[in-house]
Amino acid sequence: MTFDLSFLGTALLAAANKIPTTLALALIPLVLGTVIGLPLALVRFYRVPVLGQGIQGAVTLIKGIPVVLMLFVFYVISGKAFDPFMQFLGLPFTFRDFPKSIIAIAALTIYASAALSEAFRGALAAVNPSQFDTGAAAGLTQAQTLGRIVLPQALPVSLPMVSNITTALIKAAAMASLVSVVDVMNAAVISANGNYRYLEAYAAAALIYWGLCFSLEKAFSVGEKVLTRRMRSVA
Amino acid sequence: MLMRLDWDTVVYFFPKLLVKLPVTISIVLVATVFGLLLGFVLALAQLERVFVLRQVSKIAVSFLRGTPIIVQMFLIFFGLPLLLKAIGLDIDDLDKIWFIYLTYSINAAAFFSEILRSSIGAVPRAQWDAAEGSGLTRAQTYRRIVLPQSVAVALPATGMTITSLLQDTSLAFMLGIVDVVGQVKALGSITGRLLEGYIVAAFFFVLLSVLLERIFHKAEKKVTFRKKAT
Repeated sequence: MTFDLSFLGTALLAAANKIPTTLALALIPLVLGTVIGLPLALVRFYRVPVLGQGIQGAVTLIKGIPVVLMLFVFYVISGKAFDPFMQFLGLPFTFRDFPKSIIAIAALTIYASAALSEAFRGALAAVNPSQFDTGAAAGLTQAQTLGRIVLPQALPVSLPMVSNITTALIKAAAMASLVSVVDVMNAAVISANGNYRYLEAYAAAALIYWGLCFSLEKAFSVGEKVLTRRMRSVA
Repeated sequence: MLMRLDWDTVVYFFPKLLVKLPVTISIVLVATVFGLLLGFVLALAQLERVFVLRQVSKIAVSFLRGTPIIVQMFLIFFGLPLLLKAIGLDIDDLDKIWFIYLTYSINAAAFFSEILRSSIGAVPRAQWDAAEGSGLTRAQTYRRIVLPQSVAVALPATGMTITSLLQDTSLAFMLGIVDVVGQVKALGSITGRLLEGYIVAAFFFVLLSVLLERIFHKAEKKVTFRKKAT
């Protein structure tokens, strides 16, 4: 058995069809994680008593649990809870109808929120503390100082970390295939189920993930340059 | 059927997963040691601008960082026997754990090489010149001057890489390895209970992560203290 280049092409096409699914599995958690992670970072940054420590504990816990385990736990829970819930509602749906991608998005969102909150907290800490005093002296409220002075400076600092988290999410999204979501990886594997050419299938998946991560990394580094330059020109 | 957590099952799983902890830890240890060695080679190829090897190292690091470890695992699992058969080596009977050791070592090497590259780059140019002026060879400069200084810079990122390596071992069960997660799968099919197993497994992973974080936090303190003292 040798490496079949023409089948690599077939597998590439099959997998490329599912790029939107993989992007959705990674980018929806990225957006939701930003919305959730930023307030969490602020609470920790301002050292809000009790709540701050609580969030810190939760972040440590979440970052200690492998994403696959979180995925499996959600899968088992939703598998057991969905049917009784639907019966209770009197709806004719079973777990088979339940879109499993929701499970993956939920697990990845939790992971992204924890990781992004750490990234934003680090970026906030990197802003010179005198900026807060300057804002206050200029008569801005604390919220205004944060929104107009501090966050615009923290954003470019956080971008390299956000870029890392984004590619980590793309790669972690491949685990969604373990709960039978048909993403890039699963589509490639399915294309090989007839002829057992799994090596070509995984090579095809690898090429697509590589392309995705590479382009996203480039996009982030361009974005970082633009933002930093704009900050400089303002200053 | 009403769902509830069965605490007796949690207690049942606890010792059964505990005995599989060495498998998980062995993957982390092997990948850390060989990943650091290979990572240093990859970093050197780029730092010393070795002809061709530099480009090879760059592409390899980009590939390993840009593709999921599950994909890398299966590429090695399906590809390596084929590659070795071409040179007349048959590894069909090889224990699957070796594929795991290889995958995780290579994967970790890519992340370590980036850390080593930037931490070695952070050592001031003047240190190199001073060492050369004192008559040290390039190898001596690395060993006595540059590497000891870059350790302090590399330590936090190294800790994070080892922690994510630990998380990644949770995918080894895909090749049928009976580590902590593989044991949950195996016992789950006997007892019909998976949730409790996953929860106990998650507990062990959190415990190990926190432990790792503590160790690296202590190590960092020690290294920076020594730097101040000199």
